[in-house]
Amino acid sequence: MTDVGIGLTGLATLIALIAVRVPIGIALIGVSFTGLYVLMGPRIAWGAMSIVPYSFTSSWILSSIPMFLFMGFISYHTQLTRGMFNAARIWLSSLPGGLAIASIFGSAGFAAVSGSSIACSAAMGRIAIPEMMKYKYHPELATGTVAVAGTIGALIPPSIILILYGVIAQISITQLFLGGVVAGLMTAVGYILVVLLRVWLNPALAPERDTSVSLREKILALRETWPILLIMLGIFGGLFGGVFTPTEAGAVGASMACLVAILTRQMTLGRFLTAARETLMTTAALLIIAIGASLLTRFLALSGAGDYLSSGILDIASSPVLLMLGIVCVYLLMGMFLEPIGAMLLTLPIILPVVDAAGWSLLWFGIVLTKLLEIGMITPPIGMNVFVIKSVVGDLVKTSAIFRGVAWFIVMDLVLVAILCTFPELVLWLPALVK
Amino acid sequence: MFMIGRLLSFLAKSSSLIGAICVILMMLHVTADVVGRYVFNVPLPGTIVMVANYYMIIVVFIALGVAEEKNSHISVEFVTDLMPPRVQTGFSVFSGILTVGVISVVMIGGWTEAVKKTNIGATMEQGSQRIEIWQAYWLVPLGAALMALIAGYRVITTVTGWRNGLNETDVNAKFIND
Amino acid sequence: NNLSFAGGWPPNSSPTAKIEDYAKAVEEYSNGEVSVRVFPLSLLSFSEINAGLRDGIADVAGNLLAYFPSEFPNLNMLAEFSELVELEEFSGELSSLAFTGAIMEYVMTSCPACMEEMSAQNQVYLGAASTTSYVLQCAVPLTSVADLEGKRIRAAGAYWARWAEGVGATPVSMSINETLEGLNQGVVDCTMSNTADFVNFGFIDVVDYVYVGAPGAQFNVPFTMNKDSWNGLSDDNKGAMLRAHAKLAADIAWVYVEEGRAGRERAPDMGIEYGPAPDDIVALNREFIAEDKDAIASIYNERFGITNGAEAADALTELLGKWTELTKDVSGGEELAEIYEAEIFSKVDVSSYGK
Ligand code: NA
Ligand code: NA
Repeated sequence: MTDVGIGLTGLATLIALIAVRVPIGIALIGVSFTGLYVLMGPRIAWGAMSIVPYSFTSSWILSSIPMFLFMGFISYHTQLTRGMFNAARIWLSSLPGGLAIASIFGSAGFAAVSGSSIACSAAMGRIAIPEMMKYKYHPELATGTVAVAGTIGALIPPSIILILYGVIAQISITQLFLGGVVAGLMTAVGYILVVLLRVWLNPALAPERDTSVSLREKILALRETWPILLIMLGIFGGLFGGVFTPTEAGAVGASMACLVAILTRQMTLGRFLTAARETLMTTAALLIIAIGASLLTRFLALSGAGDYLSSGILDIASSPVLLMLGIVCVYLLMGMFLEPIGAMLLTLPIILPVVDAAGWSLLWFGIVLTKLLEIGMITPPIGMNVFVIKSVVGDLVKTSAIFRGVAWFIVMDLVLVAILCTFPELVLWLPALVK
Repeated sequence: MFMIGRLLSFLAKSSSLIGAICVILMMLHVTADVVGRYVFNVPLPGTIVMVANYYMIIVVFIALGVAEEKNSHISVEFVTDLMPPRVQTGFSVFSGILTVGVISVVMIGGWTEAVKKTNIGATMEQGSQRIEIWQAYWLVPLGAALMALIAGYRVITTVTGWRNGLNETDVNAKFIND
Repeated sequence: NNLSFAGGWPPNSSPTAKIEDYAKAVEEYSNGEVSVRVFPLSLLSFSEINAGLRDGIADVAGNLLAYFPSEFPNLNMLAEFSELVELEEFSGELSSLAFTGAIMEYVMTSCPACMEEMSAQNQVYLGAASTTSYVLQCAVPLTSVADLEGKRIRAAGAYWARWAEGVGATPVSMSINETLEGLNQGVVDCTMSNTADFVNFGFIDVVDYVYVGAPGAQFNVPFTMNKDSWNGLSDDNKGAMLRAHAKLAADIAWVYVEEGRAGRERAPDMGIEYGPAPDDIVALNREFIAEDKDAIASIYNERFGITNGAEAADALTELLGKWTELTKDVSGGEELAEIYEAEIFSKVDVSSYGK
């Protein structure tokens, strides 16, 4: 069998294993180890197994994931979010699906303090889903909205993907961030439209609208929002005031959540430890998959299967439109299985020269690419954001139900990608203004 | 057999407590570094190396077994859900055996690396400080071993139908109802 | 023989382009008997490269030894002596070319302990390349030594942290990818980075002042090869590899010089003050280096029992004199490669090296 053949066989085996309910991390690690063994021999396969799990995990940047998770768990267990969502519910109560819309607003806000979409989903999932379940939102809508809204986290700065892309494509990260702001806000608006449309088509998805709320009630509801606003203010103020970096923001945010919870007299030792235990389990469940995806990236690189898949599609493209369609297909396909950073690192060596040759803006492409990679975070069979939400809801909602809830938003994502491709100036005007 | 389950459950519970304490320490350590740097111009030496090589490694690897006990490793159910219960049991035994095999590979790999790092006395530098990190490498085989034991035990109790002494209730599932 | 090269630099970057050139050179010099496949970042990250080369996941790579203090004490000590280039007789835009030559010559001809370290990690040393000198890149102005007091300055390694402590500033550790935002938001006031990273990591977009001449020192990246892969080559092919590595060392060192130049040329248009550091800072820096040279020897003696630190510093100082003379008029990578080949790589005995 050729090397590429081994790579493709590995991918097929991976899909089969995941389909029969083998834990995803185990399937990824098993296929990568076996694949490397067949391809390169025992020494290299064992070498990869001894190096990658430790080196991938011992990452300062990744440490913001448990810390943002912890912040969310504390906020949830000490009921810091109740006031905010009560206010959001009351203010948006005259809108169909008001709480789902409020959670999209919340994610966009969280996106400004979180570099990854996983952390964003994790934190918002903790805060928003229990509230939506309580108000009898359909589980698919509740979980789907939060899973998908997390992807705003990688578009609105700070963004780990955009930083890496900027380093690789050698373009200004500040400029990329400004482009990401526009794309992130457009995405938020798009998702809100989806919620409105779904509830309009099927009113049973969300509780009945309540138009009886008076202005006085709305103002009163704002009084209970201070705990979360204080934390948000602390994070924003600290980040933009130069007190700490985005990576440190997770830990500082968690500390602030603890302090506020003590102020509101909701903190107990039991809740504190429960939040820490849940952070622990969620982090381990996510990181074992990320380790597996990182191993798979090496296997695909060495087998050449990654190159084969993307260059095959690119060869067929004869016009710019076809080329763009080809690129979209490559990333949607890779996004089904790979973690975004691995997929990006694997493909940019081939894709960037092509983009350059086509005369496209690398800044614009970075934003579209991030959008495409983030779609991968919510598509089956491996959709990290969906898994984060699954770990939040436990046995109450099936993974497949969350994937169904996400499907509507994927359609909107594809529409947004089409809009960004047709009108690149949507991404480029803000960076140009600041230049 | 039941007592083995209780013992594994006790080990998982202890791991969970150590891990939870590490989550809390990580938060405090990074916050203290930020406050020290901003307020007093005295950052805590070695924070980045400590967070990456101790807190992150302990949090992830010590919790592998805990997540295995609580069945919270993420999998995709939608295909197997369509099948009859007997077939589903078959798949979960298959998946359990595969888990034991794969995580044992991680354990052996982690063990060989930990031996090498211990022999060389691996360190890392941050600023002018030198911090020993070889100890952290042992968490990989340790955490993987606990996960392999729990997964293996579950396969045995599933096949034999013996009473399983694990504490499988998922803490995550409870919160949503309260 | 089909070799893999794990590049730690991003695809599309100039160093990666030079590694591609190197791959072609290996094929040409070996008459097609050896080929090199380059994996930029997708195979191993910089923190994995040492173990990856040791276990043969890749055959050749640029190995950042500074990540592994316990594995490579001798080589790391030598790299720290790059501070010497800031002394008056060696300083200049091309000092990294001289230091690259000096350290390669010393390691390959006079440092058996370095060879043992390499061998213990199952690797063979095949040259190195130094970045340009580290300079102060700041969001706030520095007019004199007094301004350094209490400034938060990002330090990338031990030398720079000692320097910051020595001048009364606060050294801050931060990953390179966070530094841009850290500077932009004011978490740090300055970064100590080389003049090429000024452009490559986008600092050019956020700093207003670049001060050349302090703190100095350079980051040295050795190129190393898996020992079994090396000894799987015929003597002729080993010779071809060495010739290609003279080219690689020269090309990478030269690319950093070129990128540094490009940054300096772009800076004025972006309103950045780019020039020599205030005189008293440069003077303080030279005093610091004179003392730090001994400090390095004693730190490595205390931590790793290396006893010849002072002699190594003297030997490097002497070699730096020779190499400053050899490289002072170099105008391109090819010219530099010929010098490295003639003075160092062609003198290596292929039948015994790395056995
Ligand atoms: Na973000
Ligand atoms: Na996916």
